[in-house]
Amino acid sequence: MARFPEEYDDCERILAPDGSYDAEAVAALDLTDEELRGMYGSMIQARALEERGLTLQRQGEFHFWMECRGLEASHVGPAAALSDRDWMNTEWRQYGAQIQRGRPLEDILLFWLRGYEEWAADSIAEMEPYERRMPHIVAVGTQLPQTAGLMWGRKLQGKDEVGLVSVGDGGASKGDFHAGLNFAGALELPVVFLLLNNQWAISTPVERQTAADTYADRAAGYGFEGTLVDGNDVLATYRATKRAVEAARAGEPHLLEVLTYRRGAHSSSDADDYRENVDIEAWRERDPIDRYETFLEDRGLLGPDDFESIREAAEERAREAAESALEIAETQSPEEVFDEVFANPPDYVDDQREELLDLVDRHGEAAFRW
Amino acid sequence: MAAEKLTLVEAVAEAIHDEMAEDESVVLLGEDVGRSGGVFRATEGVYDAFGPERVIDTPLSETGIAGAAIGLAASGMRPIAEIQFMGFTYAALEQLFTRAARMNARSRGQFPCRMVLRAPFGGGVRAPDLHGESMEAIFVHHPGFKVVAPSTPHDAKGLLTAAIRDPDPVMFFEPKKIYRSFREDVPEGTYETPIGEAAVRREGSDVSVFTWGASTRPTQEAAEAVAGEGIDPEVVDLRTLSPMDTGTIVESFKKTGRAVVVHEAPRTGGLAGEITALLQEEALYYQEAPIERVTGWDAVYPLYELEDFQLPNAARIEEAIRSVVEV
Ligand SMILES: Cc1ncc(C[n+]2csc(CCOP(=O)(O)OP(=O)(O)O)c2C)c(N)n1
Ligand SMILES: Cc1ncc(C[n+]2csc(CCOP(=O)(O)OP(=O)(O)O)c2C)c(N)n1
Ligand SMILES: [Mg+2]
Ligand SMILES: [Mg+2]
Repeated sequence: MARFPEEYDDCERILAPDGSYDAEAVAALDLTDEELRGMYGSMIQARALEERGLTLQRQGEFHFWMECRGLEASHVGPAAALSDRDWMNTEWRQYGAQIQRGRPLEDILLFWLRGYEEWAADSIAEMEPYERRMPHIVAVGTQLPQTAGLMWGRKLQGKDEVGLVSVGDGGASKGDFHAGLNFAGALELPVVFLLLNNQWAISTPVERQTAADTYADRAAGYGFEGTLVDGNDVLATYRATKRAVEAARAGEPHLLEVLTYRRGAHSSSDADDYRENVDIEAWRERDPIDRYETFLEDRGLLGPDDFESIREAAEERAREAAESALEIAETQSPEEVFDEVFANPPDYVDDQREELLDLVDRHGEAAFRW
Repeated sequence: MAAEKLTLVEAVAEAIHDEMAEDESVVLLGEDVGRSGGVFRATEGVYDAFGPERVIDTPLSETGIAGAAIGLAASGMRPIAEIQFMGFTYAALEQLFTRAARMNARSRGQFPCRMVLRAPFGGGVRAPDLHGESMEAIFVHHPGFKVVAPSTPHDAKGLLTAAIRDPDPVMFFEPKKIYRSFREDVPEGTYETPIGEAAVRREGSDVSVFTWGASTRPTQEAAEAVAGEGIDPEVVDLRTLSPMDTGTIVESFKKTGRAVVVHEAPRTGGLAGEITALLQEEALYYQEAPIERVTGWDAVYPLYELEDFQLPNAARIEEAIRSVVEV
């Protein structure tokens, strides 16, 4: 596996860790000031949401939280590079990608509180960009062949849409990785595979996942291109995804590896006591938000006062969203156990629902709570 | 309606053909389903009729086939996925159990998983390992699926049509031993045989014999044999295993007070236990004798010549019928 800092520092990038940048490359991105500020807003919002989520988890209000800090650029840039009609199947840790596509914070939080998701649109045609996703998977890797199938179907329907699907350095060890990329290659499907190499799968370091130098190299085995970029440079992840999306739209899938580092614990249930001889400080110095702030300031797009007010507003939104999500989650009732188990439910569903409700009625809800 | 004499496997091909003609969103995918028409010829003629866009020979990966079918369903298509033998669904189970069965619930109805997964099941064709499995119980044990196992050409066509039109993921298991055993009249044109309804194949008053798939053949044979001895068995072909037609099962048992359950799958943890529990709960006071199970042994599926000893045969079924009637 790529060694730090040598190979990391050799990654394709636009913004260096110190905030210096390639001005020509920036100009070629053709991003408006608004769009550049928007990606900043998404990264800040993701971090603020995480702080709120972790606090509420410690207070016992949330069951669980997957940690994201330091990973924001690895998924915000890719989300920004999609067109509104494209699809995005990211995993649960990628809060910034969801935010970038406009998903309400409350909706993101509700996934952690209820385990299911809801859509406002009645049909795919009516979906907002952020709704163009399949529900979160929990068995890592399974989303890969599913996204191949999803985009195959959209292609058969004559739609000019691309699907972006993410997987981690751990999930990429599964057979689903092979099945998904192989189907996409063999059937020429418009899919971009985003490999979020954050160098850890819970306590297992990336060296234990593979003997290869990079994940991007694997693309050759499927007959398409792969690239490796600095996952802490939001402009680089944006540019690389944009290119990949164009290729996919033309019928060639792409494997994009974004190299980053999971600074936080795996999740709120992780003691994070297994990392020896790891220089987390070195990664903090390569923080994606710090370098982007330096860039924005240098371009005169935002200044220190703006940073502060944007952060405060993001914290406030996170607080409000959490409050409202908790309120909504409280309204869950026992009959929901059976909701949508089937689209066309057999009779036994009603029978068992009645059985449960009758029990709750006779014993009281408290008898069931633990 | 005009009818033609078809075998079960021909009826499967006809159902696929007719639904693809009716509904443009139906696509067929799997290993060798296209040009070759499938290893059992269950998709014969479909490729010629609908071409390579809608009939796709996929790479050899059951994970990929199941995963892609789930994605196709999410996109608004109606995929029919073929797994060459039920034993190769082992490689697809994660996709099916962690996703297909629960996508409707986890998306609160936004993404129903409208797909049919077809696989030939059961033994009796003298094929190598993994070609004789009867794993239906593990699918029945996962809420979210519908599980269907027809035993006649007429039902194969009608149930497959219903399965393709059903908004839930339907696991459609075809009894390969009797794919070509007999022909019967199958109506031309499309029709549905409702999912969730058992069929009484022989009415009787002394004992209820519950079965499905290829076991319906030796069961019917056994029923006729004991009828000659003055025993009058009722034979109930479940046809759908999930949701099970508990009404018909319980009614039949209330009439006869005695039951034998026949299936190829191993005994322990099999559906015969489930059916027995159902009868205990719903009709204990009607029971006249212990319920007997005639099943495959709890053995690693024995191959080739040894298969003869694994599959329930008429002799075993007759003996079980006699023993519950004699009590
Ligand atoms: C199939 C499967 N096995 C195990 C798990 C438990 N698990 C959850 S996350 C995780 C590590 C995933 O690592 P990676 O793919 O690198 O993603 P990251 O957590 O770094 O975002 C594991 C083992 C799971 N969710 N799914
Ligand atoms: C997992 C699995 N799926 C399906 C089959 C059925 N099957 C047996 S051989 C075969 C084709 C294998 O092709 P290949 O790997 O190229 O080997 P070859 O037959 O050419 O030697 C298939 C689909 C199987 N044995 N295993
Ligand atoms: Mg990882
Ligand atoms: Mg070969």
